[in-house]
Amino acid sequence: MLISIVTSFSLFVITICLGMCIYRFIAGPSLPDRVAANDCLSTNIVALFIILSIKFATEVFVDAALVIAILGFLSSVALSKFLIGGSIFDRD
Amino acid sequence: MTEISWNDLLTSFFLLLGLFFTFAGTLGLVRFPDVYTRLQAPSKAATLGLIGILTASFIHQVGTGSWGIKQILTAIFLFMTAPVGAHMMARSAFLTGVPPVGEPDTSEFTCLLSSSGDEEQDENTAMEG
Repeated sequence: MLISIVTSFSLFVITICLGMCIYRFIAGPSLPDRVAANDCLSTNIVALFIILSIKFATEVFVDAALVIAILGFLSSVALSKFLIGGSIFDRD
Repeated sequence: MTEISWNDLLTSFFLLLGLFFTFAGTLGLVRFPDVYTRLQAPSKAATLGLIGILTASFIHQVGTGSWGIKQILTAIFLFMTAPVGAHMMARSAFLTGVPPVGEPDTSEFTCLLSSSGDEEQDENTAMEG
């Protein structure tokens, strides 16, 4: 009962956080702003999946959360290196 | 009203703690005036907030009889990668010339710009040679 109420409230707040990240993604004045919004969006999606794993008392959402965390980090690093030099892999 | 176990109380406490840090970090992403300050707030959300939520999931998982290895693995991964990602984003923002607010002293970091310029000069001299 307590877990159900707390996780429902947490899902509500995380949805508001996702909306704020999408606002920064659209209205960011520069490209690194959008990259930061992308990183924060992936972080909030990881939090969403962990809260869903608590709410439904299953373990399968944690695997998806780990994969989304890895993809968010890789996309942030790749987009940052693309913004610096125009090429992701250094060819020296 | 049924009885409330300690497991549920601890899970709810850590979940609300992590939720507070996540909400504060995302609010900082919206409200701060600059790219660099905007990068600072979600890094705290990625570490503190997600560690709180993963601790809640770990406690809930242990209460049901499993081990909860994946939560610890995700927490270690986030601790390793969140500063690296924030550093890469701030470096790309500085090298692409996004102006910081308030005109701080960035004379220590102009070596990054000159080093990238040296690489271009080296390429030019290599082409000339």
